[in-house]
Amino acid sequence: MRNSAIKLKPILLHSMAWVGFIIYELLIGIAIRPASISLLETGMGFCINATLFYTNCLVLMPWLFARRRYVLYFLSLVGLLGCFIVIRHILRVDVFPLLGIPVATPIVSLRIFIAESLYRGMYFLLPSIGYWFARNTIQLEQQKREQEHELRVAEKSLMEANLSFLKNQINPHFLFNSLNFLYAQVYQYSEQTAKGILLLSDIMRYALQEDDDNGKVMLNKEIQHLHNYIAINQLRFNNQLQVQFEVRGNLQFMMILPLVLITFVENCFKHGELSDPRNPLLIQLSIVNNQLTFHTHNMKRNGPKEKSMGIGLANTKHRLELTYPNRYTLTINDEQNHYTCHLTIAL
Amino acid sequence: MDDEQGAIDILRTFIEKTPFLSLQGSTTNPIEALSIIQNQPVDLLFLDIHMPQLSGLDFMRLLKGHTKVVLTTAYNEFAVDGFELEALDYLLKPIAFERFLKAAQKALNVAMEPSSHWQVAEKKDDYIFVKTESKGKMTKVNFDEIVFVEGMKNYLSINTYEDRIVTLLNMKDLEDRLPSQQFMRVHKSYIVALNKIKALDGNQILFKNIKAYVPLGETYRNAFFEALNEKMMGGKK
Repeated sequence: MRNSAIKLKPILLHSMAWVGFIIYELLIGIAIRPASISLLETGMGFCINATLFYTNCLVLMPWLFARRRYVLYFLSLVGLLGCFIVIRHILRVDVFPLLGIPVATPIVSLRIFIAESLYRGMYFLLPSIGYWFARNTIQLEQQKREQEHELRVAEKSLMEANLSFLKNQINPHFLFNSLNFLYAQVYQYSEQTAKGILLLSDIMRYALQEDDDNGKVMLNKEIQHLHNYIAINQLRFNNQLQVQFEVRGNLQFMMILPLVLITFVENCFKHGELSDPRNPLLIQLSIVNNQLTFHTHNMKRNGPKEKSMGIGLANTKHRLELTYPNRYTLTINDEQNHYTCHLTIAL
Repeated sequence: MDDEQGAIDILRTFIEKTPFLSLQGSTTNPIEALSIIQNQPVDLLFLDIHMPQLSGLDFMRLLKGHTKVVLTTAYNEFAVDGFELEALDYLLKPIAFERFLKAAQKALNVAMEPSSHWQVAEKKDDYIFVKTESKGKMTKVNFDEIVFVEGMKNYLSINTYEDRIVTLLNMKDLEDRLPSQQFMRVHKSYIVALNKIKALDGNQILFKNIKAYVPLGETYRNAFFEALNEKMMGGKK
């Protein structure tokens, strides 16, 4: 529980608190009975007050109260108060006269002295109990925070492990060697098909690649990935898809969180009406200095729609939030028959 | 050379489509490949990295003479090793014909050029001598080896790919000394070599082949983007 290493700062703080309190009592004393103030008496008195305070909060409470030995704790408290009264009595009756210190409040009757001592003892015992509780609460808070932090770290590494496990499920060498074999076989018969295999392997390679550089990729690689995705879909649908993809500005040297833009493009392909030459799917990307603007606009497909919206988008929003806090804006206009996304990121 | 016949077939098709290449031989057996090359030296070898008996990289170490190697592999974790052994190029399977042609063109260019182009002739004024910490020793620093310069309290550290040279200079003096075509101040305590820049991530500059991040200072931002755009105009797309 307690840190056994002695730290200077708390000791200093406690000393200052005690000194402050002593000064306060002295001032009150001077105001009431200026004649009978003795520093030595006050000092000795406070030594036993402090002993009472610390014996309770550093010994009795952690050892007995914290271990739920309430009865024993209560008995110890009574004992402690008893000792406190006896020591005060010894000081008043034997020690002070010996040292020639005038006693400010001579003992008139034992009953009154005990009552007064109990009152005085409680004056320090109750804050001591309060102090222990407060410190305990703070320590618990700290522990909880540390535990939460450890938990988060553990969760993160688990997620990474899961992801790499998934990636290892598909042995990349096997996959690309197989694709290469198919490609070589098909090449002489159908260049179109061979091209499709190439596109597919590029797409797979991009999705399986290891992240480095802060988990970001070069922007032109991400854009190539978009081109590949569009191209393979064109192959599937005989180049009938009406897609207009415009890229403006200087892409070199820029990096981006991977697989963000593709989410929006995939959504357009999933839900969009892509067969009307007058209303093509429009994808615009522009870079000005390091400001990326990405805009998609498409007509919605009539008839049955895939009910899958949300997961990919929510996940992408979450990733943007983590990587570009306060550096991105995303506006989605989901109208009756068309759908617009507008994303800006300060890369 | 590849352990899969299919991979060899597709390369053969490509070689037939390429006028300046003629196929001298192909095999799935590395031992046989070595003997082919020993009997009749070849200019260019397409070599698979992953082979059961002998990896392509080990095979390269056995090669002597002027044979240039283009490595082919299914997966891209070996690029760095390959270039250490001076592979000419590196093709990822499946290989598109356009990409194959690019590698072949590279080989042709190397074959046509006199070999002297490997030794870059030193021009005047492309290096400086700086005092280093060890007892006033002078160290020669070639400008084109500098990746970035970092200013510390009253020292500068000049970072190249190989090492860090710490010298007692001030930022301003060195900045004036470096050719402004190649170098740029990007932060009150950083100068970078423009041609070593790989990417910009937020306000961090990343470099090719080296794990280092240099901050881009707010005041230098616009000038930096202008310089990059200029490089783009003159450079390749």
